[in-house]
Order: sequence, then C-alpha cells, then structure tokens
Amino acid sequence: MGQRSLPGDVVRLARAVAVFALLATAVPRTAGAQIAVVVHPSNGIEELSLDKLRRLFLGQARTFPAGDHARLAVHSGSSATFDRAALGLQPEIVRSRWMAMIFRGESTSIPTELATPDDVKRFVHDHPDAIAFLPLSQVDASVKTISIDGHRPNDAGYVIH
Amino acid sequence: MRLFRALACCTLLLVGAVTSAAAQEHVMSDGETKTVLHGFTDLTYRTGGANTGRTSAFGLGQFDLYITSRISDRLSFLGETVFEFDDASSEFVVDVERVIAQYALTEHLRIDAGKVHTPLGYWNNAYHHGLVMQPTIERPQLVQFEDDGGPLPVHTVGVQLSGRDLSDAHLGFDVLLGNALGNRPTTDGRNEAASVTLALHSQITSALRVGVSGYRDHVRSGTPTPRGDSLRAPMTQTIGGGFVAFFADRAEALVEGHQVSNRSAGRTSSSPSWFAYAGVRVGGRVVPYVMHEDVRLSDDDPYFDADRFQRETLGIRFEHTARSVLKAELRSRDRRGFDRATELGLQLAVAF
Repeated sequence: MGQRSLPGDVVRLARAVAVFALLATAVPRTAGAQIAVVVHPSNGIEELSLDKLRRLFLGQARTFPAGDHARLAVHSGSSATFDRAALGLQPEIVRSRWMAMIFRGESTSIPTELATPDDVKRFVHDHPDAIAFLPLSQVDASVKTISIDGHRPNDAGYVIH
Repeated sequence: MRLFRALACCTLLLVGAVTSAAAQEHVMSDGETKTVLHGFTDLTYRTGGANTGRTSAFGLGQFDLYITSRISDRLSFLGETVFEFDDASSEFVVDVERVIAQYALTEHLRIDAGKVHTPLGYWNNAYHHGLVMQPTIERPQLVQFEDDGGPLPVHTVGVQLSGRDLSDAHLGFDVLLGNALGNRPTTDGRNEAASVTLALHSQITSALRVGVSGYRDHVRSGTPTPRGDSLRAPMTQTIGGGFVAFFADRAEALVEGHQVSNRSAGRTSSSPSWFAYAGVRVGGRVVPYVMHEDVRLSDDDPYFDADRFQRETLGIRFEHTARSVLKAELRSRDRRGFDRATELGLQLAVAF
C-alpha cells in the first residue's frame, strides 16, 4: 500500500473545497417572476410609494393615501418573493411582525392568505377596499395593477420580482 | 457535558414544538364573532455556580394563553392569562396579565379599557410574556415585571386612547389614565385612579421608530413597596424616558432609557436607568447579539430598595420559524452587594 504524502492530501482537500464553493456560489441567479400589486378596478388609486406599500403590508398603516381602509390579501405562492423584494424582510420576520402586532393588540388578524392567483383575483374583485399581490402573468381585467414608486411591472425600476 | 446534554434536550424539544406549532391558529367562530386562541411557552436552562445564587437547572417558563376575539367591525376583546410556577408558594399560580376591550374610533384612533401594558418606552409594548418574540432570553432589568423587581409600572388598569400613523410624520400617541402604583385588578378600596401616562412616537420608516414617554402617579401612604414595607408618606412618582428602535432585515438595535423620580416628604430621589441592544442577522435565521444594561435605584429612595445593577449579555438566536426560537446567552452581572456573576443560558421559546 503506497503511502500518500500529507501535502498531497491537503491539496486534494483544498481542491474539493474549492469545487464545492464554486458550485455553491455559481448557481445562476435568475430574475424571479414579476409580482403585480393589484386593487379593485373601482379603486381610484393608480400608484403607491414603496414606503406606503411596506407600511400597509407590515401593519404600520391601515389606509390608502386618500384615507380609505385597505383590506390586505396575500398570494401564498408569491409571498416569499414579495416579502423579500417589496418589504425587504425575510418571510419569517414578516410572520413574526404580524404575530407581534396581534400580541400587542394592534391587529386582530393577519392578512387573508389565498392559495391561488384565481383566489386572489376573486377576493379583490369581491372587496372594493382590497389590495393584494400575485404573479403578473396571472393578472387579468378583473383587477387593476398599480405602479410602485412610479414604475409599472416590467419597467426597469420595478423592484418586486 | 451538562451543557451539551441541555442543548440536545432543547433540540429534541424544538423538533416536537415545531411539529405541534404547525397548527397556526385555533379559531372558534359562531358567524358573528371570531375568537382566536394563541399560546406561548418556553423552557430555559441556566448554569449556576458561585455568585449566581442558584444551581444549574432547567426552568419551565410561563404558559401563556392569549385570546383575541373580534366582536364587531369596531369592537374586539383581548385576554392574556399566564400560568407559572411560584417559588414562594411552590405551586402553579394563575395571573391575568391583560384583559382589554378595544373600540376602534377610526382607522387611526382606538380606545382600550382594562388591564394594559403601560405605554412606557419600546420593549414593554413590543415584547411581553411571549418570549418567542423577545430578542433575548430575559427582559432587561429596567423593564422587568413588577413582581420580579422591575422599577417601572409595566401594567396599568385603566382607560387608554391611542393614535397610530397620524400625518406624514407617521406619529402615534397613547394617553392612559389608570390606577396608582400597587394597583389591583378589582376595586377593593386600595385603588386610586391617579396615574397618567403619555407617550408620543413616530414610525419614521418601516424599520425605524423613535419615541418619548412620561408617567405621573400619586401614591397614598401605606401603599406596599417592592422592598416589603409600606410608604410612610404620600409619594409622587414621575417617570420620563425615550427610545430609538431600529429593526431591519440585517441589523437591529434598540436604546431605551427612563428616569424614575420619587418625591415624598419633601425629598426627591432620582433613579436613571438604560439599556442598549444590538444584533446582526446572519444567513437569514441566525442573530448574534449583545446587550448592556445599567439600572440605578437611589440610596434614599422612599419606594425602591437601593440597587446598582449592570449586566452584559452576549448571545445568539436561531429563529427556526416565527413560532420557534432557540437562544443561547453568556451573561455577566455586576450587582451591588454581590460579587460579579457569570452564567450561561439556553432557551427554547415557542408559540402555538
């Protein structure tokens, strides 16, 4: 049985670690699907600031800029992307924030969580005060897409994807 | 070795807890009202040894049942009951921590009536009995519960008007009229509606919140004090404080301070205290953190036991989910009359 040199083992180990690190970090980061923020077609709002959107979906604000009540709904399949891109937080932190607000008595419930884009569209269509999000590819005429910080989905500056 | 055993036990419990926490909400509805039951509990392991005053042991934390009920569009109810082991009586005791009827006047204004968290500073309202949301294992000594030696009146029975998200400055306020120190949940002749709390705060960004608060209370002579005797003369207590809280995705920090001034028999004694907390999120779920606390209770105070309490905490928090959190801490405490004590703590906190 041949005796292997220690430096040789170290080199092989280093190579293995380098290959692993390369594989771990070289996974291409594809652009995620665009997420549209939608309201009821009768809602006069055309645009929200990203700050206002964050405050609404973190429970720090409860009304649209004009002062009307905002009823929140989330598409569970898009919420992780929305939380990271729009709210700038990990999804578990967003859950934790809502739980804390219920615990403080500042809210009695979390936003309505809906399983499919069709459920979201139906909810928004049925509630004139609703605001929700879903994949842009699933948006149709039953809901109205609003701009965020002046950018429409697919614009270069649109951040929710 | 004991530490590794403790860690292994906590990990096993965490797995079980996460499984049971899969049921997110326990809802009862009769079509008109919707009642939701939540709960919190925790298991904490602390090392003992010289100067800590205890032996290494597991401690079962509070078992907290928390009910919210939406009675109508504007009216809701919130109740929080804690079951915990009382060392003095060696029995489990039941403590009603909060009972609140809330009425929403508008989207921005509401009235709370009942037993509430006194709106002093940030920590007392952001984190209370549910330790899963609290960034550290223990509350800072400054905002410790009254029956655990904390200097602030963290609960008050009374009526509160609150405002949120007012104007472009995103201002909020709280005005609370309540019973005096040593308040009791029922009117039995020892109460006196004599305390006023005012708080003003602003959610400057979704991550940054700043605020100031003040409290004034007139306390009758004969009121029991935390040190076990009774006030010899009427006392006026005034508390002023403020905070800056920053909680973002990667970093979190909080600085909070209050000064408690007690005036009795023509003399005023002032006790300034503060704490600072900072943490950095690493890889999404892990938060190493540090905290420094400094609590001073004046020598000639008519109400408190004189004390000087300093503590440094170095910890790490693993947020497995929003409902299950594991924390490990190394704490070094320097307290007047005691030698410096260092201890290690592990805590598993869950919400269900």
